Formats: sequence, structure tokens, C-alpha cells
Amino acid sequence: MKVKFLGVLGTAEIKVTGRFPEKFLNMASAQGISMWDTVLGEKELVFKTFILHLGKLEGVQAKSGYAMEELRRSGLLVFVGKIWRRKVLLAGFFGFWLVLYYLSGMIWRIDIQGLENIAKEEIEEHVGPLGIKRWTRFNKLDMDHVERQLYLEFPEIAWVALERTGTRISIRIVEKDYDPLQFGAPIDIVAEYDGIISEMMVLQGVPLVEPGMTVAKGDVLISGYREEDGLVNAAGSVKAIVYMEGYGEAALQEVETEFTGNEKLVQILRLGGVNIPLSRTDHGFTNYKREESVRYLRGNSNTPISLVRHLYREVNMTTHSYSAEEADDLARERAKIAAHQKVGEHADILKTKFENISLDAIYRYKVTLTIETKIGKERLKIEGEEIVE
Amino acid sequence: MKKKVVDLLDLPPDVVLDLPRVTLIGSIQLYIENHKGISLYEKNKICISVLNGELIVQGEDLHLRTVYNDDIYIEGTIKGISLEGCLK
Repeated sequence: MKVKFLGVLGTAEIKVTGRFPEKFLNMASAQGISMWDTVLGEKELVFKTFILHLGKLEGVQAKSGYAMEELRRSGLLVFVGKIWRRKVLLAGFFGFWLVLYYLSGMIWRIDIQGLENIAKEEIEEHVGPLGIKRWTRFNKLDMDHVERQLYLEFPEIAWVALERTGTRISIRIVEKDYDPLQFGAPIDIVAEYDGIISEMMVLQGVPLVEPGMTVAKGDVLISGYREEDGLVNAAGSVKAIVYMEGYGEAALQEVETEFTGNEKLVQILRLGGVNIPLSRTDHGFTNYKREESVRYLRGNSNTPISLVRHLYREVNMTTHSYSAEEADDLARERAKIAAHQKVGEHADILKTKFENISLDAIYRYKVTLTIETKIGKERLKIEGEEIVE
Repeated sequence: MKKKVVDLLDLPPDVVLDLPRVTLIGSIQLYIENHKGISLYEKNKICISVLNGELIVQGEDLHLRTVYNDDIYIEGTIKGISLEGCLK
């Protein structure tokens, strides 16, 4: 243990010149000097010893009369000695860590998350005077106080939490759920699609349309209203005949791509026009799709420094061949699905009309579906809308 | 007298009688404890003083790996070891 400690402190390489070098070794050994890695020359002996034994070794050299030369020194003491002689470097080193320590105690970035109706600027404006602004020291912050102030200032906040991560402050906010009654307006039932009313059942509210009438998207079908006792929200079911159009196409040969689940992320540091890969760029996929995302330094796209992430996703490519009849059917089916997707699941198709719009080798169809479906949708009454009797 | 006590009490003789302890690893390393100094250091012959004599190590490219107060480590191609007077 002691030997290891002495070794870490420093070792020196010594050259001793003279006849019978074993005599010098014996004298040194008798003084408790440790020596190793001896190399015997014609008239000289080179060995290593601990720096702390050099004083004793000089005493041995004085008594023995051998010529002694120090060839090299290494170890912690030598390193410290070198550094000690370079005062500016030493000051720079400690200064750097001091500055880093000081800066790490400041807010560098403020993230505000979860806002829906409240403006971010409003929050920033409010928390700024409370100390949540850039270059404020963390030890001057009372985050509990800021949270309490946010609750008081913004009654629409249901929950708020401030969290420190390194030099970043995150303000996470959850706003209260939307409650129409809070706004003092009743709910109407309005049309979700254009159509002709076919069936209607009113449970509550004033019906503004009747079967056979044509309505446009957004028209009020059943109106809610205000009574002395409170609000009456519209309730009921309205069915209508609506017309939905869809488009579909199919080719005699189609290539289907399917993700295999294998992915490889390649990160590239972009400095001006120079790309420096931070990871291996070969992904090893034969067929792949590449997704690119770019993060700029401090979120500013004008800065020349950015981190580019390429996500390579392996795909399997399968070629499907169809006969003319199969391709025709497929195009029709696709058009129908596209039209049907525009309305809810519970729509009944009354009539289907296809129109062939093929111009080239690809089969193209436009379809018009005549559908009976529910078209009513709840919506808060817009101010100024009056019930038309 | 000391030897009899050592034999009787089954004590380690190298400690009690100050005898050298020699450990040979193959023909490449030799470790000697309880030495009394180096009496000859040459590339093909190293003589180590021990109690009541000398340990002679012969070989090629011999060198002292470590020299401490109590032990010595010799490396090289060791061809022979003997306990007798060392002739320079």
C-alpha cells in the first residue's frame, strides 16, 4: 500500500556511472531505498526509484563517489509542480469551474406546458416579477409562492406545478374543464352535415326544422333556451338524408409498403454547411423510409448550429398484381370506403352511384352515397342567435 | 541450538534463522527474500549474499526487476542456481 502510494506521488529514472554497480545498489538498499527496472550497461546502471527517496539517494551518491544523473521524473508531484509553475492556467481552470458553478445556479430556460385557453405571454408576464425569468438565481426563488400566486391570479387553473431540471424551469399547468353552464349559455343541437331532414325526435328544447326541410352544416336544428329557473339544453335525435362523395383508384400492379418495426436513429450535428455524424450513418436496410427532424440551438432556426435526427424505418415492399376486373372492383370499393368514412358508423346507405373517371391505365372512380344518418351535434348557443318561431 | 528449537516448535526457519527464501517461477523469474546484498551484477551472472554464503544465479539477459531492502526480484533466462562462494 505504501509502495503504491509512493509510486503515485512520483518516480524518477536514475543513471549511475562507475565500476561495480552492485556496490551502489547495496548501499542504496541498506538505506531502505527501493529500486526497480534496472538496466545494466557497460559502465552504467539505470534504474527507477521513488521521488521521495531521491534525498537518501544523493546521500548514498556522496558517500560512494559514483556519478549520478537524473534522467526523467513522472507522477503526481511532477504534474502538480508543472501546473504550479503555470499560474495563469491554474487560475483559468478554477475560474472556469467557478463560472460554470455560478451559471448553473441560474435559470437559462423557462418551459410552460399544458396551456389551452390562457396565453403563454400572460403567464410569463405574471411569473416574471416573481423571479421566474432568465438569469435569475435559483436560491432566490420561492417556487411554492409562485404556484400559490398563479392559482390566485388565474382561477381557470386547476393544477400547477413548478419543477427545476438543471438550469430549466418547467411550469406545468392543467386548466379547468370546459363547463358550458359557467358561461351562462344553453346548448343547441346543430347539423353536422348538409342534408334533408327525414326523421326527428325532440326531447327538450324548441325544434327549428321539420322533416323534409333542407339544412346546411351548422344550422340549428333544436334550440336550447333560458328560463327564469335556469337553462334548458336542447336534447333529441335528428336524422337526415345526406350525400357523401368519395374517390378511389387502383392499378393493375400496386406496391404495398409495410413497416417491419426495425429502426435506426442517426444523429448529425450540422455546423453551417458541414454535417458531422454523431453516430454510425449506415443503417443496413435495403428498403426504408426516412423521417427527418431538426432541432436548432436555443430553438432559433437562424442559428447555424442544429441537431439533425434521421430515423430510418425498414419497410417490406410487396407487389400485388390484379386483373382488370379486380382493379376495377378495388377502385370502386376504395371510393365507397372513402365516402362512408366521412359519416358515422351508424349510417345506412340507401343508394350508391359510381362514376368512372379513368383517364389512363389507373382505374379511378368517384362515388356518391345517399345515406340516412344522425346529423345532430351539441354546440353551445352562440350569442345573438335567437329562436325563430 | 536455534535449529533444534525450530524443529521442536515447528517454526518457520526463514524467519527464525534468518535464512533466505527463494522462489523460482519457471526459468524466467526468481524471487529472493532475506538477502544480505548483491555481490555481483552482470548480465549473465548475479550473486546475492545470503546468510553463510552466496546464491549464484546464472543465465542470459539477467536483470534486477526490483531491489528492496529485504527482497530482490531477478528476471531473465535463468539457467542455473547454486549456493556457494561467488567467483568474480
